[in-house]
Amino acid sequence: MEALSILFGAGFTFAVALALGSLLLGEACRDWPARFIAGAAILSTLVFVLCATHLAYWWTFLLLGILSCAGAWGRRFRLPAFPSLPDKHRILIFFFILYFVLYFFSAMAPEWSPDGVTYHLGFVARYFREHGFHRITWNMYASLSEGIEMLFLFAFAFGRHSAASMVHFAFTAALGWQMFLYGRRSGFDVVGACGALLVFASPIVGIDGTSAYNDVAVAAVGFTLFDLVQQAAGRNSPRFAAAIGLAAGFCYAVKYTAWPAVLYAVAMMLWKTRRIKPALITAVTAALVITPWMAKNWMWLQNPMAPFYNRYFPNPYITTAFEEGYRQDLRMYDLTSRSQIPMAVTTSGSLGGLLGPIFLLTPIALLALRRREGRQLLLAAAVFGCNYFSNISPRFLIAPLPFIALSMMLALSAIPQLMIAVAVVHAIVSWPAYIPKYCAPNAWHLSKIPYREALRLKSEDEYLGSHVIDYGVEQMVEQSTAPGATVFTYRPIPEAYTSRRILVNYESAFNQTLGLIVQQAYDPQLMATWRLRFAFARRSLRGMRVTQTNTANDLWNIHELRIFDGAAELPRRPEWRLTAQPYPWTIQEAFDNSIVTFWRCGEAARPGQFVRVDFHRVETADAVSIESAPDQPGIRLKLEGQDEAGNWMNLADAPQVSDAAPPLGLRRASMDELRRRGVDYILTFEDERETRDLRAHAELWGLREIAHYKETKLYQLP
Amino acid sequence: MWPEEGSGCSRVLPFLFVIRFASVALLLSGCGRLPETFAPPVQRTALAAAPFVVMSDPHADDYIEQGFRDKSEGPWRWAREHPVLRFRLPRLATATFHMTLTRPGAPFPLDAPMTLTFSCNGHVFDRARFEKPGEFQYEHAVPVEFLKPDAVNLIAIDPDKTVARPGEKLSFVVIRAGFTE
Repeated sequence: MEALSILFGAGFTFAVALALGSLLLGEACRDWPARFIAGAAILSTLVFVLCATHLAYWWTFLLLGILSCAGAWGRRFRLPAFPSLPDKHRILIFFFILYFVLYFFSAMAPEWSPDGVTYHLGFVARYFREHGFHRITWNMYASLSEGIEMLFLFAFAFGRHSAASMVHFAFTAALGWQMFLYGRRSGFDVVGACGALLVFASPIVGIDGTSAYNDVAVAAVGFTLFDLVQQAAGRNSPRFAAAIGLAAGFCYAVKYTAWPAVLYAVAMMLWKTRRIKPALITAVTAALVITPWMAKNWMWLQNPMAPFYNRYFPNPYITTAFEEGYRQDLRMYDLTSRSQIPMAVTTSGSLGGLLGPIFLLTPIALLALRRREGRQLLLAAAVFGCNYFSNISPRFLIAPLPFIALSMMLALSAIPQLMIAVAVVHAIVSWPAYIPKYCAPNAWHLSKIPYREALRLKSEDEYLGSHVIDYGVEQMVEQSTAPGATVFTYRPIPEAYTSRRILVNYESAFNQTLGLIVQQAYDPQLMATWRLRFAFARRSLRGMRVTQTNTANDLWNIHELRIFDGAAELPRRPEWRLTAQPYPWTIQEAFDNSIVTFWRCGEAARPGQFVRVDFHRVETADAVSIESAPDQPGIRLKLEGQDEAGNWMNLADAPQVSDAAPPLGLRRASMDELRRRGVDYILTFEDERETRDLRAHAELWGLREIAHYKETKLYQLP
Repeated sequence: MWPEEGSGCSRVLPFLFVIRFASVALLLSGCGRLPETFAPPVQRTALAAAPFVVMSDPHADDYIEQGFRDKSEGPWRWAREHPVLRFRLPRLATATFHMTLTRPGAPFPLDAPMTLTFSCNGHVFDRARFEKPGEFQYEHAVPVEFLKPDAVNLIAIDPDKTVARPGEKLSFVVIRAGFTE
C-alpha cells in the first residue's frame, strides 16, 4: 500500500506537470520533457501560491491536479523515439534501461540523503503540517528558493518522502530524454544518445537525481531551456516564448546558482528571433516564477536574496561574517589547491560525490568549438557553470554537465566507435559495484538496487538506520519531547522525520547567539572578563559613541556598556536610544545588565563601526566601562561625546584594559537565557567540543537528561 | 523576540500577500536606511560577582582577614606567616580556589622550596610545593562540604618558612585569589 501511495504521489505530480505544460505549449512543442518542465514551473508556482495562502492540503492539490489533467485531456505529446538508433548502437539502450531500473528503485526506497532528510524534505514536511509557509527565521536554508520543493510538497501530500525523491527522478529521466531528442533534432542521434548516457550514468547524477535534492532538476530545466532556445528562431509563438521564460525563471526557483539562465534566455531570444516581443514575454514569465521567492524573502527576512548578499541587504537573521565564512568554506572544502579539483570531482569523490573518471577527458569538449552546435553547447556550459567556484562540490557541476557531455561526444563524433566505447566504458565503471574500486571510502554514490526496500518488503527503519547518520536521534526527540517543543543542537539531525522545531547552531544568527551563550559559560575566551574603561573629565553630554578604529578579523562584541558619573552608574533611562553600526538589532543586549547576553557586530572589525547612545536629555558623566570577552584582541576603541550644542568631540583615545574574574553561576544563567529565548531542550553528541562540559557537569547547568540514543543525549532545560 | 513560529493555520489572502510585498518594496525603495534605534531594555538581575580579590583593588582589604601587609605595593601584596583570606560564597555545586602568587627569589635562598598548606574553614584541602622562585597560577578543587553557603568562608594559606624582616615575617606575594565554580 505504501509503495502504491509513493507511485501515486510521484506519478500524479508528473502527470499534472505534464498536463499544465501541454496546456501552455499546445502544438508549439510536443516533446514530453519540455512540456513536463514547463508544466513543472507552473505547478511549482501554483503550489507556492497555495502555501502563501495557507491552502496546502492534499485535497487542494488533488483538485488542482484533476482540473489540470482534465484541461489537458487529449493533448498530444511525442512518444519515446529510441528505436531510431541503428541496431548496432542498441547497447546504449541496454545501459539506459539498466540504469533506469537502478534509479527507479533507488528513488522509491526510503529517503536517506543528507540534505534531503535535513532541510529539503524537512521544510516540505513542515509546510504540509502547517498547510503553507510560516515565517522561518531560524534556518537559512528556508530562504533558499524552493521551486523543486514545491513539487516535492505536491507529491509528499500523497506519497510522503519517497514520492518527493521520485519526482526528482522524473527530472533525471526527462534530462536524459531531452538530451537524446536534442541530438536527434540536430542530426546526430548517436551523439545525443552517448551524451545522454554520460550524464545519466554519472554516479553523482544517479544518487542526486534519485534523492530529494535539486541539482539534477536544475540541469534538466537548464537543458530544456537550452533546447527550446535552439528552436526559437523563426517561431512566432508567444506560448513558446513563455515556456522559455518559465524554464529560465524556474532555473532560479530551483537553485540560486542557475540565475544566469535568465540573462541567457532573454539574450538568446533577442538574438535568435531578432525581435523585442518574444524576449519581453520571456523576461516577464521568468519574473513571474522568480518574484514570489524574492518577495517572500524580502518581506520576511529583509533580503530578497537571502541567505546571501547580507552586506547589501543587512538583516538580523544572517550576519555578513557568517556568510563570508560560509562562502569561504564552500570555495575550497578541505582541498589545499584548486588543482586537486579535477580528480576530486571525477574520480575520488572526496568532495561528496563523483562525476565519473571519464570526465577527466572534459578538455576534448573544446574540439566541439569547430561546429556551431558545439559553440552553442559550450556557451550554455559556461552560463550554467559560471557559478561553480562558489561551491566546488561536484553537485554544482551537474547543471553544466549535459552541455559538456554532448560537447565531448560531438568532439569524438568523427570516430563513432570511439564515442560509443567511451560512453559504454563510462556506464560500466559507474555501476555501483565498481565505483568503490577507485573512489574514496566515503564518496557519496548508490550502492545497489534496493528493490526490496523500495517495495517496502524490508523494514524502512532498518534501511534508514543503516544509511542515515543519526537516524534514531530524531525519533528520540519526537518521542521524548512535547509537541511544539524547541530543541537546540550544534549538529543537524534528520528534520524530515520529526515535527519539532530544531535550532541548529550555524543556521541563523539567532542560533549562533544561542551557541555562544552556551559556550561562554565554560570558555574563558568568550566570558565577559575583559574590562575596558574610558575615563575623561566630567562633563555634560547629550550622547556618547564608542567607535572601532582598527581592521582585524575579530568580531567586536560587548556584553555590557556602563556609563558612570563618579562612582555611580547612570541609570538607563527609557528615553535613551541605542544603536550600532553594523548589526544594530541586538544592541539592547549590551544594556540589559546581564553578563550572559551580548551585542556582536556581525562583521569583522573595520574602522568606523560604532555603538551609540543618545540620551535625549543632558547627562553628566566621567567614565564608560565596557564588559566584554577577550576573544577580540584586534579591536581598537575610542570614545566620543556629543556636547550640549550637538557637536561631537573626542573624550578618550583608548580605554584602560584590565581583567575580571568570571561571575559565579554562568552555566546555570546561560541555560536560563536559552529558556528565555524559547529553547526547551538541548541535544548533545558524543565528542562534541561545544557540549563536552555540559555533558560532564549537567547538574551545574541545571539540566536533566531525559533520553539518550547510543551516545547522543537529550537534556531538558531548567 | 525572534525567531517567530507561525501562528497556526490563519488564512492569508493572496491580495494581502501582494499588498504587503508592495508596501515593503515601496519602503525599501526610498532613501538609504539608517541604523535602527532601540530603547534600553528591561534591566535584568546581575549575576553575583565572582568572589575574587585582586590586590590592586582599592577594596582588597575587604577580603583580608589577617596576615597580610596593610597596603598593596603595586598590584601585589606581601603575605606574612599566617595569611587568611575571607570570601562570601553563595551555595556552589563545585568550587575551585585560584590564586596567582609569586615566590620571590630574595630574601629567600634561591634553592629553598616552599610548601603552602591550604585550608578552608579549618579543613586542609591541599599542600602545594613551589620548588623555585617565580610566578605561579595555583588552582585546586575545594570540597563543597568544607564551605559555608551564603556566609563568609576563611581560606588560610600557611607557609612552611618565612623570612624575618624588621617587625614582621614575610612569606610570599599574592597578586589575586578567589573562587570559581
